[in-house]
Amino acid sequence: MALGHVLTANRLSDGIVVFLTATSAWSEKIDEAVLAREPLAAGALEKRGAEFEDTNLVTGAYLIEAERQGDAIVPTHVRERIRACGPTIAYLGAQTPPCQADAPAVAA
Amino acid sequence: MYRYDEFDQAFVDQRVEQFRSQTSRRLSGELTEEEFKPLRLMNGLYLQLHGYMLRVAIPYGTLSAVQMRALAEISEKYDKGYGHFTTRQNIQFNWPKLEDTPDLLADLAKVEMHAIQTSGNCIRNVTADHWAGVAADELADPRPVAELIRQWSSLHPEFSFLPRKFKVAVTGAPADRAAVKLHDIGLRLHLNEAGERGWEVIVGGGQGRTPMVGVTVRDFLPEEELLGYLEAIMRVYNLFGRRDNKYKARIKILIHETGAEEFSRLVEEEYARAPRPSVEIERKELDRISAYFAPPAYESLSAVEPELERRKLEDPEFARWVRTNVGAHRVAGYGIVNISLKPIGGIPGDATAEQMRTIADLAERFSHAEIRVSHHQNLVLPDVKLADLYDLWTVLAVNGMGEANIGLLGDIISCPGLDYCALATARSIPIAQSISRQFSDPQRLEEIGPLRVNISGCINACGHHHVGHIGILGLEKKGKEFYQVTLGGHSGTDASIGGVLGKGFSEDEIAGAVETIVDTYLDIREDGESFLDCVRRAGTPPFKEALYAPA
Ligand code: HEM
Ligand code: SF4
Repeated sequence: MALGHVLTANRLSDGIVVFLTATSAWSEKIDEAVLAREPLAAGALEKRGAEFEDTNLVTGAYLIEAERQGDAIVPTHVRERIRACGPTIAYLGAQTPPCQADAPAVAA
Repeated sequence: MYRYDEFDQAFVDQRVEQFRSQTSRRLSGELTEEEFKPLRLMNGLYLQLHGYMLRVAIPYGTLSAVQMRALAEISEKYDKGYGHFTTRQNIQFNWPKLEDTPDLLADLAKVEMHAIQTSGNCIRNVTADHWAGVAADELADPRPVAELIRQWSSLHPEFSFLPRKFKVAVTGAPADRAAVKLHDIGLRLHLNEAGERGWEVIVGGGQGRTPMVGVTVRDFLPEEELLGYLEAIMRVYNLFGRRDNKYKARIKILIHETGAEEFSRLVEEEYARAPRPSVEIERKELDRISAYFAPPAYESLSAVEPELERRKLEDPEFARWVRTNVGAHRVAGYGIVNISLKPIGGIPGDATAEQMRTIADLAERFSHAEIRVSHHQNLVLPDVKLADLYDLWTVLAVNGMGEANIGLLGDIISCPGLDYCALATARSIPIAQSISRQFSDPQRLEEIGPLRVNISGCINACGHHHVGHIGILGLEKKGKEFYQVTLGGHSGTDASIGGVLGKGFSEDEIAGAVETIVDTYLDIREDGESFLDCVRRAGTPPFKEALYAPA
């Protein structure tokens, strides 16, 4: 089991949920996030998040627990799965990017 | 309808420009999130699970066709093409961008709307009976008083930083459709023998984590004394309401802790002491406001419309919709049309831009261009001629709004829950959807009769679960959602808080549990006994037994 932490935040300009990638970019797709396996690495992610907050690219950065499952990264908690994948109900308009960690399908 | 005067308009416009400057300072980094957050909240902009959420006030749930059309346009221009009508008669947009919000607010201001005081510890949007002004049982339209309170409470300097949020509801009818006993202040109109108006003042109701039914502190407050008296209540609350603990800060806790009698004494003392607005001025202002709510020119029609009767005979589906969705109007030949935003398997309270436009068109064609939002998350066309009902229903039906379920089990109240809300512990919309699918047969719904299922995604109770005849509260344990069921809540004149039945249910079990509860009711009900009456008579044991007894 590849359990670790991913750094997430909301993009300041539009509020959309984003995840920090290995190249220090922010992606809307959790599967592209960097998964920190050790506390030290997670701490480093947090620090980078704070820097991005200081430069006002994102807001409210925090770590979530997640697991790599094949190509997908799946948060442990249902709240974070929904946050990553969008509402679990049909809704109008542009959808959150396709997400393999489909919230209700995964039992905690 | 009330229209802005030049001061209202100038103020709202000014506020938009202020927010524009604040937003650009935030985007440039001049303001930190910590500094900006209270500013955006003062303008109704929250940060939710997936992004920003804007809550727009619809004062006492009344809006015009023009405003509805503007909401439709805004939802397309700045959001994903839909909006969510809430239990507080507001509308929420789920996906606005921060950088667009000043423009969005400017578009709202063009139609005399805003999002001010839809958040924060101030007096929030005043809600009212959604049948105000047209209900057959009503003594008088409560909206002039609601508007008076709105004006008085808007940016009231003394009451902009209360211990906690403050919600006021008004009704002018004996049948309570506005849940006045479940608000911080509820006002109910009475007439004395001389035909003069007085307001029953109910204080300290509320839902959230500590649900309480309000207590009456005045039976008959002369209308002209209303603001002075409300001011006295607000002062006592502002002074003595707890600020040390946000969960104990609502006025209901103050009343609970000091006792209703002592609280009432403090209010009377303050009322006697304080200088108050002059009675004459208040009367004049009320008269001025009332003119905006003058009834439209009704035609003189017969109470029985042969064309309607013929259509009902021809089309049983239409006949059912008339039975369930059309309320008694005070003027002969007219009906109050309640439009269900609860299609089978749909999202309670959601409307697409297209649907909003359809409603606006229908309001213009059939209902003096006026629309209401109900706290049940439905819409109302208040003034429809009986002769027009069939044409109206036909258009509703092809646009997914023809469901015949008002007040029945399919008319489920649901908060956004974990699909949208950052505070949620569990999802509520999918639960509403599964129950609604389980009970999709309209004939069965009618046989079951009045039954309110209300669902909240957390203890804050935005979905009114405490006052659902069947209430469902979404909770979470070890990352898994589960649902607690209460029975016997009610938000009418004889309001009551529901009692917890027992162990919770999983998402997959919940529709089945509701089915069991309903079957038990059908089994034990006496002749003509409603679900609520049955629960009140029999108590919870038969339901508990059916749900939990080992098979
Ligand atoms: C999505 C953002 C929302 C947030 C952050 C939020 C927050 C809250 C909180 C914290 C409370 C508890 C207040 C207390 O007990 O002192 C509450 C109560 C309430 N909210 Fe919401 N809510 C949200 C959405 C809604 C929606 C969508 C509705 C309508 C469907 C709504 C209607 C209500 C009502 C009716 C109550 C209970 C009445 C009372 O204040 O006692 N809220 N909300
Ligand atoms: S009840 Fe809870 S989950 Fe539902 S909208 Fe209110 S705060 Fe959110």
